[in-house]
Amino acid sequence: MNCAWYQRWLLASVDDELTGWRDFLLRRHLAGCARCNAESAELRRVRELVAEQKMRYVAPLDDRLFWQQLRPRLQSPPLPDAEPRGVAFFGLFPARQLAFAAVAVALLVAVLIGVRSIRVGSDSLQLAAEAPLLPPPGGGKVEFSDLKHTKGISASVVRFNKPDVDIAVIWVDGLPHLGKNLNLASEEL
Amino acid sequence: MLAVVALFIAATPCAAAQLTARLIYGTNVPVSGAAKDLAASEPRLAKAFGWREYQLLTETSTSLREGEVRQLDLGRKLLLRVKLLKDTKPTYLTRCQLLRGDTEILQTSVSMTSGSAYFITGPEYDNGQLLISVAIR
Repeated sequence: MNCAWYQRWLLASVDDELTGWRDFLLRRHLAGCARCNAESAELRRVRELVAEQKMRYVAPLDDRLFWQQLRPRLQSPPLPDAEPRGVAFFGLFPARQLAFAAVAVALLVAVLIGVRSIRVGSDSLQLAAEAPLLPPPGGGKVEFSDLKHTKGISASVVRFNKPDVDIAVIWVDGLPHLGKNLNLASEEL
Repeated sequence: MLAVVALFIAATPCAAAQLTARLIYGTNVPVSGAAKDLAASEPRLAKAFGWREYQLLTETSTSLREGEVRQLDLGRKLLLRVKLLKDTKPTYLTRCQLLRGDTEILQTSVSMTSGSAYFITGPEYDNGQLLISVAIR
């Protein structure tokens, strides 16, 4: 939404008549829009000046005199104002310190999530790579159970336990010697 | 509270088992022009299987979660069918079947720790022998 959309609500806001979601949206917009924020501040200043000027009169208002006295005050540049209340971090926090604290917490969580994603990513990279052909000696543990084989062959578990070998093997005997050309992947064994 | 969140984020486990099957040809005849993929492992393989030269023919990998079944095609009509029965990382319990075509050659249950591997000796082939390696991480 552009500034024109919000500026419809500025007067109501200055008169403290804007409530609910409109007030929330406007405050959020003011926090991020210097132009509208300046316009709001100017309107507020005019309102205060007019109210102040009115208070000086006990008798009925003399329009000409009223505006004569008010004009120079309106034309003088506004004094630098303190930080607008309730506009820190898109108007979500009443004080700047709270906004900083929220940003710090968000950054910490983002860093943690980032670290985790890097960790997961490195796991994924490891998973993408194949498991090693041989574990380091003594580095893996393999246990077989319920070994069954088809008729005509024999299969037994052989374990090379020497530190320089340390390989677990299902030794299958009886498979026919077939094939000649190793480079033909589809060749019948 | 932040510390609890950090610990939760950092400690949540998040990986499936990765199974790799390889078909290896062991021979005493030097294979001309063959890539020496297994050069680092040859001394240990030679002590176990006796062949001097080892050549990696096929290598295939899959990720596996508990209860899932995967079939790995090793080529030469050899298939390895694996079911992950139990994932208690770092130990995996698998049911492994070796098939040639549609015929089952053998099947066994294997309990393996992450990073371990085992071999199945295959048929002799020309002047050598086929070996099947199954590794998990």
